[in-house]
Amino acid sequence: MKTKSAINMVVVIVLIAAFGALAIFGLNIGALEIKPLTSGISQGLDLRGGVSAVYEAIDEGQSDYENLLSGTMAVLRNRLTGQGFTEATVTQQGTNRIRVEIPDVSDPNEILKIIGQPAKLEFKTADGEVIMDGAAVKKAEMGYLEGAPVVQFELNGAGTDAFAKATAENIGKVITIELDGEVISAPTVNTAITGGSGYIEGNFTADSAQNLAMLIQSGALPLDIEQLEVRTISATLGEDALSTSVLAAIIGVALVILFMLILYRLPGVVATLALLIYILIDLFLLAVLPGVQLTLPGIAGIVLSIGMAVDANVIIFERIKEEMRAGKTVRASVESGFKRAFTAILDSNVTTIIAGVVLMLFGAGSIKGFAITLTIGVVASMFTAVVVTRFLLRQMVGLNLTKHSLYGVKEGNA
Amino acid sequence: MKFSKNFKFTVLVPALIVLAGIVVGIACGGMNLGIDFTGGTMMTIDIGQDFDSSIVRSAFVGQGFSDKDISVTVSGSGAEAQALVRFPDTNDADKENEIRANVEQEIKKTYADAAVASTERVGAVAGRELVLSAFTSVLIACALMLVYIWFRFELHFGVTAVAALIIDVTVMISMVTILRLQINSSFIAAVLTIVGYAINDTIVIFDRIRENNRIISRKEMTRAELADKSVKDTLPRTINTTITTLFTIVTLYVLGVNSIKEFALPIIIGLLAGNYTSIFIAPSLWGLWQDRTDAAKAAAKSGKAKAKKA
Repeated sequence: MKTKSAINMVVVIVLIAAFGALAIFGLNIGALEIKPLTSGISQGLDLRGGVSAVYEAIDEGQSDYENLLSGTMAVLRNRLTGQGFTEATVTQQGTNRIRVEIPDVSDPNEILKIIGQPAKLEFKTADGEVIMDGAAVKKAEMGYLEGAPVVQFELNGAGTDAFAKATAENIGKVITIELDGEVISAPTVNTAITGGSGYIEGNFTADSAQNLAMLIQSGALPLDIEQLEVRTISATLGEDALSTSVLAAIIGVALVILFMLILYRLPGVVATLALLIYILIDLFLLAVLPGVQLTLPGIAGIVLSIGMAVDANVIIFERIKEEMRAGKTVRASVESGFKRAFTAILDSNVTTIIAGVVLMLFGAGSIKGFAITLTIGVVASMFTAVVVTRFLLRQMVGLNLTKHSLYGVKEGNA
Repeated sequence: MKFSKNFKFTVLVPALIVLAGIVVGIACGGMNLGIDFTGGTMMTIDIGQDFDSSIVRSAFVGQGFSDKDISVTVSGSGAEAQALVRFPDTNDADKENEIRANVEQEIKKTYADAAVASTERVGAVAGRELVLSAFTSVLIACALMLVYIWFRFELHFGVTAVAALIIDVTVMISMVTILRLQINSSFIAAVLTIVGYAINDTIVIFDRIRENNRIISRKEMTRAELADKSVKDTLPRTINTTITTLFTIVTLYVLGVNSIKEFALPIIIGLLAGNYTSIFIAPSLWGLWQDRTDAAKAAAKSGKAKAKKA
């Protein structure tokens, strides 16, 4: 019994140290590479800096609105990728909102202007008759013509036919190319163009030609959108927020551990080990669960849940103390203390989880991120309190560490 | 200690705080609403040293804003000093870029390290919706918690626990109004946290009441007395759990950046309020109410018995 408990304790401590080191430093042995856990946690915009914007789609009354909205989101995504922002996210918010988050961006307004553009491209005859629109363009890219930047395009089958017909009928006349109702190019037709490709000249710089090509390529926005809000956070502000929060978390945890050791002695040691395991589980869940993003309120949620994680231990230890004062042996006190504290822990945590889940479902933006970290924290803390703490305390009893003073209770009381 | 005997006095404390909140609110023209609610633009500028806010103000006036439309708040001091500037929405990204560049340049003439750290532009509609969605979430959460507690305990427990929670939230809102803290989405998140957390302490005490309620008969002591005993039984753990949580959240407040501070402070207030209502209000309220229900039941019973006799 005693040797078994001693081995169990050593195994637990070695495992905590090993997983802790793994989480912080990662591992790299030959083909086996494990990244540090902290690098697996994706950070919200408020921590890494960037811009978030919320757009509202106008003309909600249209039939097939949902498809148009998801089409709009797809176009926004294409445009962002086309601009090199592969980490940007586009999500739907409510029924008619689109939230765009772009990390690591230096000139937010510029990029927001580009992606929010309706980009309705039209080829028109001199009489104002529409030959075709942007949907007929298969491919568009920036190129140079006599040293000046132009946008080269290739048409699809229907576009090729329409363009061939129109150019044949309009030789010597002007065909205008309009973007969102504004004429960007008005070339005169010299010969019929049957090959299905051409180029748009205009007063382009390399950048503006590149942008126009990207807009044509990604297609027009199926719905007009209006910017509702924009938030920009500099990367340094986010870094400061993260580093001070991490420091606060470390100091906070140290204070909690100190408090538990002084107040509860041996169970305090158990609580410390359980807390370390809890933090590891929490970080692990944050890193592996999809869609979990660490935000500023999220960090607060974690730090708060660390304080709360100890709560269950306090409830159990106080109960064990009570049982010991009532004259039970340490072994009996541990068992009945656990049993009796369980309903309190279960009910109090379930109410918190109820609140967390409601916030997850109904809250928006940063509130959602916070609710997720809080709920993960509560679930993880319940597990460590009920399973880990119990296991460790049993090992303590198995080691014959049963003097009352070790549990913060005066010997005479027994 | 006779918590329930002093219920009239203990309930006065939150009542007075709420009253003070209303008075200050009326005197100062309402709450200090952030741009999440009012709409507008907020620019946070790192100044890097203690500064004269009139210089920041005049930089904005130079951009064509009228003096009364601009509000400049000083936050932090020394190397961490920041100016939080609110100005009306320009509705124009180019114009905003221009303002940002010009203002930064202007302030740099006096304070060389000045740099714009963040800008936020919010339409007023979004704020109203945020409040509405927060309000409905709290209502739904409260209703579900009430049902859960009703199911696990009894209806009286559910109602008093949720009543205590509502007091906590009202006290938080009042204190934030008194301290003139800005009400924004961080504050809403803080309120929601407290809704989730403050009920914990109450439940832990109610758990003991539930246990004692089974063991101790009504002849031995009234339910109000039983509530007092249960609070006393669990006092160390109620206080210790709050202390451990305070350790982490206060450290966060002391060390954190501004946006963390404005989240942490309301939580600290809410934690203390939650602890207070868990000890002094919820159990007494339950006990007094239960005694009254018991008395009413007994009266109805004896009334019936008398009617039978007659």
